[in-house]
Amino acid sequence: MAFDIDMIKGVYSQMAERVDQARELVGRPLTLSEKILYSHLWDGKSNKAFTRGKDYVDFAPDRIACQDATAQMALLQFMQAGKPKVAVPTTVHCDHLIQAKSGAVADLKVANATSEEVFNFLESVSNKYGIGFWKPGAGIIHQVVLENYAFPGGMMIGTDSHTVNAGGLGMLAIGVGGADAVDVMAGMAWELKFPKLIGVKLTGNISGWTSAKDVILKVAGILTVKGGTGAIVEYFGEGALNLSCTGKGTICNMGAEIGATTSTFGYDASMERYLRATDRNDVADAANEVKAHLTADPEVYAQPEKYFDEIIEIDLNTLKPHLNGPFTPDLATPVGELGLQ
Amino acid sequence: MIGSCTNSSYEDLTRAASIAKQAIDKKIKPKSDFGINPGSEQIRFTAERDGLLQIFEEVGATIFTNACGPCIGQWDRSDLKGDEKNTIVHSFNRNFSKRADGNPNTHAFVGSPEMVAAIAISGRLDFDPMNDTLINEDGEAVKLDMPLGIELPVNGFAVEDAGFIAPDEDGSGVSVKVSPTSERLQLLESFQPIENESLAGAKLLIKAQGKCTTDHISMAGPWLRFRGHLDNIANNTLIGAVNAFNQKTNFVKNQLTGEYMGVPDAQRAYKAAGIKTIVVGDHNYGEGSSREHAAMQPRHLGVAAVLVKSFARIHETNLKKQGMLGLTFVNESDYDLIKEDDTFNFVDIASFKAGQALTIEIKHADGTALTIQVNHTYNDSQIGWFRAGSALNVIKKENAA
Repeated sequence: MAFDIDMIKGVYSQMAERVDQARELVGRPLTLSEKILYSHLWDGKSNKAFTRGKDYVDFAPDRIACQDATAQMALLQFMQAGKPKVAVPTTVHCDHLIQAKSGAVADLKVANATSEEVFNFLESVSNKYGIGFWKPGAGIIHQVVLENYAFPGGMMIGTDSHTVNAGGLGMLAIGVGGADAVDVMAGMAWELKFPKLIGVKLTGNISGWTSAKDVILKVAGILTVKGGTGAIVEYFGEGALNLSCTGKGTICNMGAEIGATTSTFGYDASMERYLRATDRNDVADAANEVKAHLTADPEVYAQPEKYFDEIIEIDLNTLKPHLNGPFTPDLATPVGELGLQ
Repeated sequence: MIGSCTNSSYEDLTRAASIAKQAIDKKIKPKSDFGINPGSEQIRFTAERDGLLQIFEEVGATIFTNACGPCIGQWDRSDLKGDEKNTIVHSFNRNFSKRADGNPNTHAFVGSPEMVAAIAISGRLDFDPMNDTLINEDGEAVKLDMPLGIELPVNGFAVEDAGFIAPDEDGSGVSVKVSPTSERLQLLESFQPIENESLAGAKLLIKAQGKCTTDHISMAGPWLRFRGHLDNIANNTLIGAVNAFNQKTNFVKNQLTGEYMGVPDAQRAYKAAGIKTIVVGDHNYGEGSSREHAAMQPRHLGVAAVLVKSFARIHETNLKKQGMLGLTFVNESDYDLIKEDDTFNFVDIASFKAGQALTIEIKHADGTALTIQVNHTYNDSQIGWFRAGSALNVIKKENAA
């Protein structure tokens, strides 16, 4: 069973009404990103269509995740709010304060000794305020979130730039500073400039040596490290449907490297398989009931140029494995050609 | 290196392992060291059960903790003596200079887990596994077959101790563990509101020139160790900002003594004397990382206002949240009028209102004075934060009511 399944079902129970209202307001078919944004408005519904890249809008995220470095000041501040519990489901993950040296067993022992007081603080403050705590060695925040907490159509914030990894399960997951997380934990709204939308159409299929990683290495080469600033990147097309859910996670993860607010994919069979494999039949069943709202309206992917601010098309049949670098993730070179430069 | 939050799925590990296994089967001795960073205990446990980790270990891999490790610079390398030139290939997300090991001479490349495995085995950055051959231990030219992946484990995921601790249903009796003598953690105290009267006779702490990002305001690197201890990390406040009067960093005039000293030292002297200060800045002040320390530290040390040509929006909001004044010059050129020994009087702060500029009287050391107008973007509730001392103080009051 999934964590916080009642919260997830609550989001889905309002989704149809909110998406329909938004479609009427905007006056055209909606992208997935818009559906999630409009169904997470702080005021429930809007009386105007927002201008992308311009309007500041208050949102109500479904959950929060913090890593052990950023969680410290965030939770010290939250303690000042005088609340008995966090206002939305929150987790803390100990993954940053562990140095890699000789191997898992020895390194973890050293970390537990060196940062004992920080881990003890985070565990006790989590225990007090109703926060799920993942101890050192449990895993990296974004992988643990994908395995346990991410859900299609949801909105989450996290105090780490690679929070965006959870887009692999069809949600809008956005990295924020500690102050934003504190506000949401304390029951306040979270403000974001309504993002621009970049559509990436994936045609064909990856095969052989090419993998999901090469999709984002290619996108990074096209958009560069600043090209996604202030925008959500929404992937679609036949090629997207044929990527695994975790492959989608990889692509969304590295959306941080092009400066994107976040990246996402529409709910599909790969996500259902992943939810079921990670013991979340309840989420998969609930998502299946509102499937139509967990991806863009069909008109959008049929004529994307009408709905996105920018479109990129990548043919996965001809995409080669890439190596990006050195010193910057947007210097993309197909394998075998590095020696030529 | 293979793994991290970016690429440590079951599919990734099976594809990379299918390449590593060929090194064993085809008798190719890997030319590089391997490191594996599993993304979670569930993945690690399942990969071990299914024999994947053993394959990596057979080609000499070190299995690191299920944690960020080398991907965020938490890597104590034993294979290099100093800052030697070297190349690493990984399936992580970032490859900026010094990101993995702190060495500026490490050239880092990002690729898929299977390509990383192939490159590590070949020891060549220009290796193209689709066309190139490798010479094995028997002197034969062999080719690597295509990677084979399994999307999800056939026998399901498994884990013994996932490492999760659920919180108490009722946490009211739980006490939060922070030692009063800790160097790294310090419980916060509510900020006291900045009173109108304290804004008469405020001193200039620093006039920052040029770029002043949140890294200039609160430096990263070794200071990150103190990110849970406000008073300790405050010792880096604005030490990266360039003083417009001498072009030096962390070297400002303490108006109380006339001596030049570090910014945090000068500020602590003003605080001890009960004198508020203001920071003056250039364009896009506070851009960069959104960390709240850049607003909390000056606030903690007694800075009352930040007056700049323009703000990075997130930092401006963070200043408001901490109950400070974030202000911009109505006339940008007024920045040039501010002198090193200036004193500031906020003459109409008592009538601080949304949508209405504020007036500041600036007194120079030679006795002359001038008056300037400054803009702000506070709405009514944000003015409430300022009056209460911080946004959290407002929430606290509401929760107590």
